Amino acid sequence: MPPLSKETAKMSTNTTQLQPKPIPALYTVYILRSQPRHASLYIGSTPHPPRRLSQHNGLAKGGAYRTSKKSLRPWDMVCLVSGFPSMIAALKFEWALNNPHKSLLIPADKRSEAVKGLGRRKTGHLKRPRKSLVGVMEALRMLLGVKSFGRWGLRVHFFEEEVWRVWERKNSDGGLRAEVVTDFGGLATALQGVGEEADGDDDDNDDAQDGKKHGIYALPLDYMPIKEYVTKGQEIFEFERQGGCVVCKEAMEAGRGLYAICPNIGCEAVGHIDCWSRCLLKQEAKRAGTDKGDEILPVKGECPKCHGEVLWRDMMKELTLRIRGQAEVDKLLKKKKRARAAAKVKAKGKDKAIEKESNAKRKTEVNTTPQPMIVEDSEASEDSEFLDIAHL
Amino acid sequence: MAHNDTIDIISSSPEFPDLFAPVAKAPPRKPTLRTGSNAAPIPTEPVGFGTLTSAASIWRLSQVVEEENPAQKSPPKPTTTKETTAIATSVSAVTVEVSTTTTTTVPGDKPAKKPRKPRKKKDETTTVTDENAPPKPPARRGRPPKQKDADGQTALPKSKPAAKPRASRKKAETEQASCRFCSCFYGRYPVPEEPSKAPVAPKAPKSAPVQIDDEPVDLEPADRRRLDWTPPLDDGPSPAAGNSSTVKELPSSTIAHIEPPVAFGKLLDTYGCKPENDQPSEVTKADVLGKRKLIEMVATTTTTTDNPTGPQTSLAKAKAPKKKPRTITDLATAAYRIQDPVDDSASTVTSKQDTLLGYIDVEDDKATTKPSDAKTKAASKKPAKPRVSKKKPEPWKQLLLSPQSALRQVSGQDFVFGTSSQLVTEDTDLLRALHESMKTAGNAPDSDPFTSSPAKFSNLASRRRTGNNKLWRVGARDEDGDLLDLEVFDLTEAVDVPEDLLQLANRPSAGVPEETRPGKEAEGKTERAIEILSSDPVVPERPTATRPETQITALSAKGKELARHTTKPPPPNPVNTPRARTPQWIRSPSRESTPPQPKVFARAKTPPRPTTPPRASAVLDFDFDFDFDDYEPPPSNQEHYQLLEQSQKTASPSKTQQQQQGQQQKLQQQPQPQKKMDPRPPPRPKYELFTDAQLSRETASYGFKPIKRRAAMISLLEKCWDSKMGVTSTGRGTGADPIPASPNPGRGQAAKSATVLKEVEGAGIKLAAAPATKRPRGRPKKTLAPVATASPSRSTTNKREKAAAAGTANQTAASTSKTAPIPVMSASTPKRQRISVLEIPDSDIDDSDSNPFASSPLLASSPLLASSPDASPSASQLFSTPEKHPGQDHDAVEMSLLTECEESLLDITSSTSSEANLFKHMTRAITTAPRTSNPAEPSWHEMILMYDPIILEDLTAWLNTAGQGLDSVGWEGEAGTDEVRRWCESKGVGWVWREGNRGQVRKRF
Repeated sequence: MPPLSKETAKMSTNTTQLQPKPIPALYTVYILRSQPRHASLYIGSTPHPPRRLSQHNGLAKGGAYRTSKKSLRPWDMVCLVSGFPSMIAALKFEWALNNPHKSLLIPADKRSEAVKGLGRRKTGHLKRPRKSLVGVMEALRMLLGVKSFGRWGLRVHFFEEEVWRVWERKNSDGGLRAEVVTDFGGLATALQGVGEEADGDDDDNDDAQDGKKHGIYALPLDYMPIKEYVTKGQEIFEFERQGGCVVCKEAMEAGRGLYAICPNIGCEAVGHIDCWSRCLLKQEAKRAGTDKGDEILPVKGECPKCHGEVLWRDMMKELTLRIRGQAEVDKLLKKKKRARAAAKVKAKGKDKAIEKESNAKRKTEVNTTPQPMIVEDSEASEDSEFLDIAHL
Repeated sequence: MAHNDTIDIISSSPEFPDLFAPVAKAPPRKPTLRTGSNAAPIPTEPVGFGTLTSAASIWRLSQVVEEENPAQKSPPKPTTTKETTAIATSVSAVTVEVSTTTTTTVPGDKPAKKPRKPRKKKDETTTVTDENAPPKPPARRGRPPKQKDADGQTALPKSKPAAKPRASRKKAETEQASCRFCSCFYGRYPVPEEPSKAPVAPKAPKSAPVQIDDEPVDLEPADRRRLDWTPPLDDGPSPAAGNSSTVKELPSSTIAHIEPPVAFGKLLDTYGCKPENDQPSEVTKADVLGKRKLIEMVATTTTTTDNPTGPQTSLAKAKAPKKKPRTITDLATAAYRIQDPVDDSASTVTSKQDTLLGYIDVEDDKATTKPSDAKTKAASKKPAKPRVSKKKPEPWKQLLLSPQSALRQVSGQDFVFGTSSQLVTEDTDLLRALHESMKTAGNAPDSDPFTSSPAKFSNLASRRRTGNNKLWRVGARDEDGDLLDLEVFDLTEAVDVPEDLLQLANRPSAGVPEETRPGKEAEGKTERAIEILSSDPVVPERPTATRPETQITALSAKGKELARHTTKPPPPNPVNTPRARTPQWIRSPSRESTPPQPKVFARAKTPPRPTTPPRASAVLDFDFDFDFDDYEPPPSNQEHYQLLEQSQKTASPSKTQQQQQGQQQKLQQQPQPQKKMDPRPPPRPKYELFTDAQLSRETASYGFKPIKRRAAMISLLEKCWDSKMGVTSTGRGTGADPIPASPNPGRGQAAKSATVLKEVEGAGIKLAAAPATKRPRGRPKKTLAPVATASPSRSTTNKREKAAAAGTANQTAASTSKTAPIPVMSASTPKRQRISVLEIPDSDIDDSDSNPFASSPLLASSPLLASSPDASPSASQLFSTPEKHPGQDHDAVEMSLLTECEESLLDITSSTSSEANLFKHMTRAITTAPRTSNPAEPSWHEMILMYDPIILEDLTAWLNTAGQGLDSVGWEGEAGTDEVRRWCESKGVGWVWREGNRGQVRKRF
């Protein structure tokens, strides 16, 4: 079969690998809502929410056509999903969120529901349903529970209480695997300026007085949060302290494999990433009470050495940064040496945790039914994705 | 005369009181104007002078001024310092304005004119004052309106320094508002106190003499101008309005001059330039005028001899425009005018003749044009006469034809259609030749343009070819700029052909526009190729020489049917209809021997047609030709026609039939033997022996989604194979394609071609063709959906054919070409096909049976026929064929018909236990693969763990590689990209296609 061989040959020849980048420090899919007109929503993705928001609001060059209407500005980032391991992953998520009626990731029955009322375009494609906050939240919940995205350890941020309540309305189903974070502090004021520090006049937010950033401005845009982790990794491999795999005990030759390090401070457990994954997956299966599933991507687990919780995403972030992002590492570490911002960053991380707790307290059962909001016409929001790509 | 006139004017002073009174009134109103605003003046003044005509008012005013001035200020003329002049000018301006206001006709128009006048006046006045006595010049000057301009300009340097022009300019600027002038004037001089009277008073004392000169001059010219506009009336009104004798005299003089010429001449003259006529009279009047005239004349012609020749010159001028055709239409029609020769021969002919001729011509033209419009059809159909040549060489007698005779003549004429520019620029011969060729093409399609093109046409042809095809070339490309791949010549047979021949064959088709190489060359190549072919040992094998013939006949029959169905007006003579015609040409070689006339198919083949007019004209002629002669089916039906034609062409690959007559038989026979030679034996491949992967690939190659069950796959493949063999011998780019030879190497571009959706209108079936090599991924491209328009595709095919015909005669003969256009299933992605399939409504499928092609016995009955040239239309159905077959796998059919969304739903539901099993194995295969020793090249497992986006194709390839992947974990099957994708999604693995949605290669992740 000549064609067969030919095809395979082509395949093999084309397997030239693109050198992937390290996992981005932050990549988010956000939901914008028009301040003057709450029914207008916009879904986009970006690695730098503050910058992107300023673009949408016309404070910086760029932005999206759909958000260019002056009557709809300013826009708020009312919700945001972070933790995407790559731009492509974020774009996929964004697209799925924008096209819940088409995305294969959404269960068929749900999708068919959504598809029901939709007309078709001339091309035969289904028209995109109008965005409503309820619908978007539903789609978001659905997507976060989907297998494809469920194992990425995504985190959902809510910066607007109203939106969060809409989200909470359907909180009953427990399939959600994403972490939900709320930060309602000072969003409105934060909108006034890009990078401007939100003045936290929110009573609930303890951090307000500290002048801490809120909302999207509190998001870590670089690798600072894992800086210590990174330095640890650097040190370990600089001095070849990796020793044997923490799981399989095999000796690990430096530079001859992919070795992940326990992210917990003080723990220098190093191991093959497949060993790590197997270990973590085993734990997961144990937790779930089932025999070993055929999952391949761990989410989180417990370090076999220090028994501290480890997030697979963080580990991979550090690993990819180490093996692929030397430039970023250098930048990160240089910064640290120069300025003593390290401590600050640490503090920031801690504050975040505190904040989260406080927000958790805030959870109240509010059953107000937000009116379904209708976006004008959201057929062509694909542009957002490309714009975002452009802004990468 | 001049003296008398001036005297008269002076003498006319007694009349002043009448006029003066209004003038007196006027000044007081001026102040209101001035004070009020610019707009104000108009309403106030009409009260007093509402009845006065503008000219009359001007005259009176001027006279008034003159009277006043000379009486009071005749002495001060030596004081023509700048100031005085300025004042005078200002005053004059004021007066003029007053007149305008008095007339109150149209404030906007007149002020504009008048301001100019004053300025001229000044200059003139200055000159006059310097040279002659003030009183005289005004009267004389009054007549020539235009002179003043020239005079003023010329005079300026002499009499006045810089100051005056400025003043005039200022006036010009402040044209409409007299107040402004006044104000300016006052501003300079301490007179502002009396706004209303000021203008009048100052005039009298200071500028009187000068003004006298100026004003009369001004007034007269105004009259003249009007005369210019409305020639006949001017003479009358001006005398009536004007009190002065001079005015009266002028008309008389002009009349005297004009009358002598003939009536026609008069008419023309009246419309001609009058000023010249006037001039002589003026010249006679005054010396100064003579000078001025000189100036004027400088502009026109010889000034000195103007007096006697005045009328003649005017005549000459009238002629002048005729001589030189200035519009394109003039240029275009110039050749056909009868008058022209006369004009040329006798440029000095009297005006009478010219005018007469002109009228005749006009009538003649009308006669010709009208009938032409009415009878275009008839005329065009008639054999082309050398009409153009006739007209030019032999100047017709200038005869007015009776309408009947004219009609007759016209009917006898053949017309050349084209834009006037073309008609001008083009060789009439060329155009005629074109027409002839087109007509002949209609009658004798067989004639090969290359071989037959007569010597006289040949160079035309070459010319034509170079320029013409751009549109076609463009049309032959799809959005991506790739050549539409309507034809791919299968090289199955080429295997046997010697290298040289192959090269020959490839060269023409290599994508180099055919235009570049002369037809002769191609011809030669074809011949050679043919010879080689004929001598080819393979040839003897052809047992069934008659096959193609039968097919063709069948086709032709079909075509006729189609024609009947499709063409609204049944062609008067069926032979002329392309469909009916083509078969004939194929059948009867005798026709082929018919003259060298270039054959032109409508949109089909631009390149081959040697004698087509340059671009635009070509198109134009084209349409005409087809509308009238060929009864080309409406665009909607052209598909049929094209398909038919194409198939026929493929049947007789090379158009050089004249020479090939003997060989053509061979050529036609060729396909059959070569078919036989086809490496793949008719028995279909034993799919049972294929591996699962191979099977899945095969199915994919047919455009089906991967099917899990092996049995289903096999049965589907078998059916596909059967249908394919029944329809066509080859499916290009399909994995199952039996033909070992890759598509014509020269055709790299073609291979790349994007999809072509052919829409057969009659059936309403949309046939989707997916690109063979490049499989689009992700969201369906919008470009894919649109149906490729018939014309481009057609053109390409023809082009190709022509090109290929030369060298690849054997190949085309092999009938592979028809198969090429067949929509090629995307080899790898089922997705793409799904999308394309979306276009097919269920109903259409049912209808497809009714589709002439589908239902045609060719498809159903004989596989042999399938291989026939006719295959292209039928081949286009290849895609849809599986659906037609009852026994076909229902899954596949359904899948293909599903919309993307629905299909995706099916995806999920269809995940069977076998798939789950497969997934398990995939997981195991990936996780158990050895870990990498090089961090830069992680294993799949590690890549997944690191959240790297997985390229589906690569992973699939790896999984299916023997010794690795699935093979290593004991899974004998193979995984398709779709399965891999689903697996990835189920595992949360980020996956991407290698190519982006738009076909771009990913540069980053």
